[in-house]
Amino acid sequence: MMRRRARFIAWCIFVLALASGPARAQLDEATPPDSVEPTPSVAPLDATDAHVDAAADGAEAGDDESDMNDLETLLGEQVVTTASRSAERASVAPATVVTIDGDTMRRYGMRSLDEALQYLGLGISVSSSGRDYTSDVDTGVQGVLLRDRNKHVLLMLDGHVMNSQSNGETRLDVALGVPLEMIDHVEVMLGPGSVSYGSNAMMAVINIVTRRARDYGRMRAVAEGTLSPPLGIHSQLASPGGGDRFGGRLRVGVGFARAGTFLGHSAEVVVHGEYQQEVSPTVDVPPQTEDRDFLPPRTAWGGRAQYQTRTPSLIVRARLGDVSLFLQGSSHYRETPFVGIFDDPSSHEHGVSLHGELRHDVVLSARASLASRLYGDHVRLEEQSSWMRSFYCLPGQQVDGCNFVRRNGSSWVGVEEQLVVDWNVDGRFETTIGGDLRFRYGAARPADYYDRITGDGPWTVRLPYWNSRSVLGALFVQQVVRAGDHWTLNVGMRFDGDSLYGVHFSPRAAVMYLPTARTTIRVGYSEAFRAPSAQDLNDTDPTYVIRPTSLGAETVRALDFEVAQRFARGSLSVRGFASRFQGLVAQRQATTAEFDAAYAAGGLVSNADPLYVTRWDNSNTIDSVGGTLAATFQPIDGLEIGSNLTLAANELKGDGPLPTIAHFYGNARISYRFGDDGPTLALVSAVSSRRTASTEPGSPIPSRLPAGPLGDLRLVASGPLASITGLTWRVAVHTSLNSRGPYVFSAGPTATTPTDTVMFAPVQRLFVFVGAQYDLR
Amino acid sequence: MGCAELRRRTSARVALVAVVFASALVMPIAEVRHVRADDVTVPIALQVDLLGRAASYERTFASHAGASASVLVVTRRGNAESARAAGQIESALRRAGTIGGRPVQVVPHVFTSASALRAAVQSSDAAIVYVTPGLGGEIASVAQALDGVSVLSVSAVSTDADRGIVLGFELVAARPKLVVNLRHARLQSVEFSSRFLRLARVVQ
Repeated sequence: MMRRRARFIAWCIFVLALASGPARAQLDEATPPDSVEPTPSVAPLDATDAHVDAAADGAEAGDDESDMNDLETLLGEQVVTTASRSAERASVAPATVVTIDGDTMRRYGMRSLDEALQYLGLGISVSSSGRDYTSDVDTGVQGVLLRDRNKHVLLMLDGHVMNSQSNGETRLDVALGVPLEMIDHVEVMLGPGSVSYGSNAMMAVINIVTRRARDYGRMRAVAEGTLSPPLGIHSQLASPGGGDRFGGRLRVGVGFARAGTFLGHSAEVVVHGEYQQEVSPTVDVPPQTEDRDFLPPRTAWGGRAQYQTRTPSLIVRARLGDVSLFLQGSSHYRETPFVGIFDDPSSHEHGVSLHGELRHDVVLSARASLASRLYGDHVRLEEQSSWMRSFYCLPGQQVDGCNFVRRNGSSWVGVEEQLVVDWNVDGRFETTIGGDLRFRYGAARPADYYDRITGDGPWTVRLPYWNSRSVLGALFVQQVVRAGDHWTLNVGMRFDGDSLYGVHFSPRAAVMYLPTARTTIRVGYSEAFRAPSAQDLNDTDPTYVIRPTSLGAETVRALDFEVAQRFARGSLSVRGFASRFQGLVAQRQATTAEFDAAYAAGGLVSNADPLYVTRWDNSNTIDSVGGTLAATFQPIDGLEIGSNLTLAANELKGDGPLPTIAHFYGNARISYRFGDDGPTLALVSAVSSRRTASTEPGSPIPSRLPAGPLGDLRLVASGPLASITGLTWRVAVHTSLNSRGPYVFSAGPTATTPTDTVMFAPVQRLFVFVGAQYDLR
Repeated sequence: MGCAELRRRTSARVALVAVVFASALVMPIAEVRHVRADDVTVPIALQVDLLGRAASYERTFASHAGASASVLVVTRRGNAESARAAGQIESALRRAGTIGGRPVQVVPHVFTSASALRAAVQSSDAAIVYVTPGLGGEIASVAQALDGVSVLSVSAVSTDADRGIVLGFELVAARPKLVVNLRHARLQSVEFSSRFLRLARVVQ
């Protein structure tokens, strides 16, 4: 089966690659000669400047259409920093890097990073489970999706790693706490990135680049509100009234920026704060009784639920001469009404994160430059839920039920040095060497159980606690060789030594061939890993999880191939990839011997059910093969058409379920701006083929229910308000074409629960939002 | 260990991180010797490629350049960033071979004063003056000194076009953008076509 899919995908990539040649010719021809006529914005220059007038008429220089196309092609080329840790053209980067800029995000009505990745990104599939605390938003990349709060995606803010060092987790939704107004652009590097950044960079590296003072303006204020109607059974749209209520989301932010001279040095500072609050629409859930907790007067798990989120955040970016500082802090509180007892107001998760970095850049000589970073971070997360069934609680808590609380905190400080040597001062033979030294502290209470009524702890069971102090040291080296105008070779390796588990070596080699200035052919091989985190190594729960005796690193080996073609007004990229993920840490059922040993050692309670007791193990291998197609086209001024498509197949070897991801998914967009200063109308969609819906990790639901195909559409209008300089607006309508989300709440009736119905996670079917932004330049 | 103890320990570590940061803030500022006022945001090789195309759209370039195009590369003595940029510019120009359809000739110039630079431009009959990082506060006087001289001034630093250099390069949303100072273009007899200007950010 896997081989058939792989062959099919290989054929598709081959056909697409063949198609790219004629498409290129057509695109060049499609650029109308009059599409580069002066626009109204330069008309005043023509009227006031004799030099331009003189040049505009008659035989002016550069009349050659191919020259103009070449210039436009060069101006369309992206400059990226994520793949090689320094600025370079995307066409010679050693991996595919997709850039999503802040203005595009705003134009297409994006409200958070995960939305931008889903609707504008390449190779990434984002879906919201809307239910459990294990993972609110799941991110799949190139055919592999793991429900683990993004441990296999490395997230960076201005090159600063944001993943928690005690568990590797990071958030891509509103919980991230990075205001959209601060985002200049987002770079998404597809594939392994451990050669540059170490652990966690297995599936992709996402680097958010924030705005500098001059791009931000002097002052900026934004207010946006979202309104969504209530959801009935199976996510059907319902009318308000009779207990069904609208939901809303409010986002307000304000900030300022200054640039100038301070103490004789150039200086700048940007500060932006934001507050988001959401009250969801009411959701009607059909009653379920299979393994479900509820409180009277309910007679089943289900009914009407609603949740709230609150997310304040602040980000500061400052620079004085060679020294720059960034600070980011956020808090995210989210109620989780579908976890444990239905619609229990105490069920929630609350995360707090603080990140800071001081960076010093200096050019040591004509050949060498040095970047030094001193960083410190703190991340903590608390999750709470309430349960009634004896299976979920400790002995003695079966009468009242229990409150389950999981807490995890991590702090780390470190220093990183990076030396770049341009041996011939011509950018042709460049060596990067560096090192990272990181001290980490983590502590957690992974499974606290308290009596739900009295709040008393258990008298006979010792609740688990762990803390961990560890050191990470890394050395990395990268060599770039540019031979002539056509060839670029990039080879690198990184050596990570981690006191928690040992050492790991991550190599990468990529060759980029540019037969013309507009064409790139890239072939790359890379390896990456995820070190077992302190949480992986210490995770335990006396009701169902045994602490692992040891864990090794997860690894991935990936081969990718890309043909990219740039045009004056567009670009086309066709890629193929093959990846093997090995040693993936997954929960597997404990063996009888492991169960007995854990029980004898006091690690499991008396009501622990051997059928459901698990332990983490390096048990899974996933093979993935596929391809992507990305195209953008701007046939006339103001019009943009784009699409990103992914076709992939995967196969799991090992225990446990493979978190599902569609074989085909992607997005498409079109926007048109009316005149230079007129409004913009945009339509963006995200689609995915039919896939098997996912159950929550560890769920007893033996479901392989299909979900999809899925589709979402968002229509956005935006533009400046002519009467007030600096004031812009945007209005959007979003609709989901499906009532079935890709997550299963209930697999339907069973012999013991004949009244249960098949139920999928609620999908927000419709919402509208309106926003205004004021920029003082 | 109870919840309060966990929080106390965590708070202590937050305080420690804050102290480390506060100390780290003070140290580098006290030790700053290099002033990186000049940002080169667009890679030099890409700048040179763009310059090659830009010269094609400069109407008077052919008459300025003559048989070959002399490019005066201006550096600041003792400034490593300037030397690095100059090396990369020279290398990229030599690889390009031609600029605006003319064979390129690189003329290094170490900046001493704006008037000396003006004299060097006139004596070398330069068609392009390429300013490297490190001139900082001298940019305005350089721009003033080049008034009336028929030459295309270009800077590797993104903000210099706002301060009087005719052509600059900046990075906007990860893409290069041309910046043209139209007032100084006029003063230096540089005439860009309107088709070119519509692709640039124009500083009046």
